[in-house]
Amino acid sequence: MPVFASRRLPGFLVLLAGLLGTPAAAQEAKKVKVTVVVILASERAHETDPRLKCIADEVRKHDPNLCGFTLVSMACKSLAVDEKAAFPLPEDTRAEVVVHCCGDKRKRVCLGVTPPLQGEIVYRTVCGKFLPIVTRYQTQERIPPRVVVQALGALATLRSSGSLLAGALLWDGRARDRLILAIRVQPCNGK
Amino acid sequence: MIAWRGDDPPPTPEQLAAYADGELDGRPECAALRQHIEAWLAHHPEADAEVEAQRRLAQLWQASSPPEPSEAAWNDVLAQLEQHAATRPAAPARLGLFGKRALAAGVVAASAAAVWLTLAWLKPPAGGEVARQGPPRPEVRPQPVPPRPAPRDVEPFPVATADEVEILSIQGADTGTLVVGEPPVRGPLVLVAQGEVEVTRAEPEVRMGSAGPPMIWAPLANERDDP
Repeated sequence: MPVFASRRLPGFLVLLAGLLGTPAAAQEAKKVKVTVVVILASERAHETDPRLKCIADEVRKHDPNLCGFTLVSMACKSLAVDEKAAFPLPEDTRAEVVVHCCGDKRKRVCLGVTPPLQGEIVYRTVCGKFLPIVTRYQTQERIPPRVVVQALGALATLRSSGSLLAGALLWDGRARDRLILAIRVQPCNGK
Repeated sequence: MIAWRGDDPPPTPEQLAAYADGELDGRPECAALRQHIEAWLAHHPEADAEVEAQRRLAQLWQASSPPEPSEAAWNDVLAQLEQHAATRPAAPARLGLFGKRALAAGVVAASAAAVWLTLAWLKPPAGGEVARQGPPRPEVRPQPVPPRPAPRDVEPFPVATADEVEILSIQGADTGTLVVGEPPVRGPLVLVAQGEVEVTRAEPEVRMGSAGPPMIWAPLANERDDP
């Protein structure tokens, strides 16, 4: 073994031990817990999940046609800085989230979110609160069950014009839901 | 004798038949029933003819029943069967036309007798027919089986507490099904306020809401206007 290698070996081992011996708790403290709530807004449905009332009220200010809001799923992942995670979304789509910085002097987290059909959105936010992102993704066209029931009722009650009315109801009842993400980070600097 | 009262139930035909056949005689457990029937017959002489007919039928049955074969007769039949089996051990017995008919008739008669005896024996008692079935048996009720005590060395399954479980992902419709643990979001969503979020990079079309809580809005192709 060369002489210089034998002299540097103890220092290298000490450095390696220091790296490997980093407490897991300290690494956990540097992580940010990212929560993604998946919401579908509909122009046909009129039911709104009570947990989404605040978001629904704000979204309706911009698009009054979106009257129904459904909470599809909620998921959370703990991410370190520059660690990217994919959150599954409806229809085999997904949103990618990456933590760019873990908390600045104002205790805010810099986050990058890439919804489907969009580029990355980078923003800095406080912890513990949700930021809604109304994506441009719309689900596949479908006919809500309520409209199908109405069409079947028209078929059953009206003999001659029932089929025409049912067809019109089904055609007019086609709808595509708008995908909305609500993202929260927590905690920041141990809070 | 037990006095028969007008509101007492009359004896059933089976009880009358048992009384006529003498099946109630000499059985202390049936003494009350026998006295009851006698009291009833004393007030209903028109039933005497029926009882008498039943007695005659029983006597006729006894007289017409064939005598049981003696022990010697049984031994003789058995010896003939053994001799027949020894002389023709391998070949199957061939029966003539008469033999086949006799065999068939015997099988039918034996089957009919077996069915009749079985039905007669298994016929459920009706009313006071308990006299034909012998003394009433004490009702046997199934005793409840006590649960087997759990072995002492078996510990119940430990259940995690809410602090030990972290729900990482759940469907929105399933949040009410959680038994232990809490979903990632509990209660209504709290939105960020103005000044608490700052978009540093995004597509040109993406806008922030101008009023109210901040909201990132990616317009559709047909809604290019700012929200």
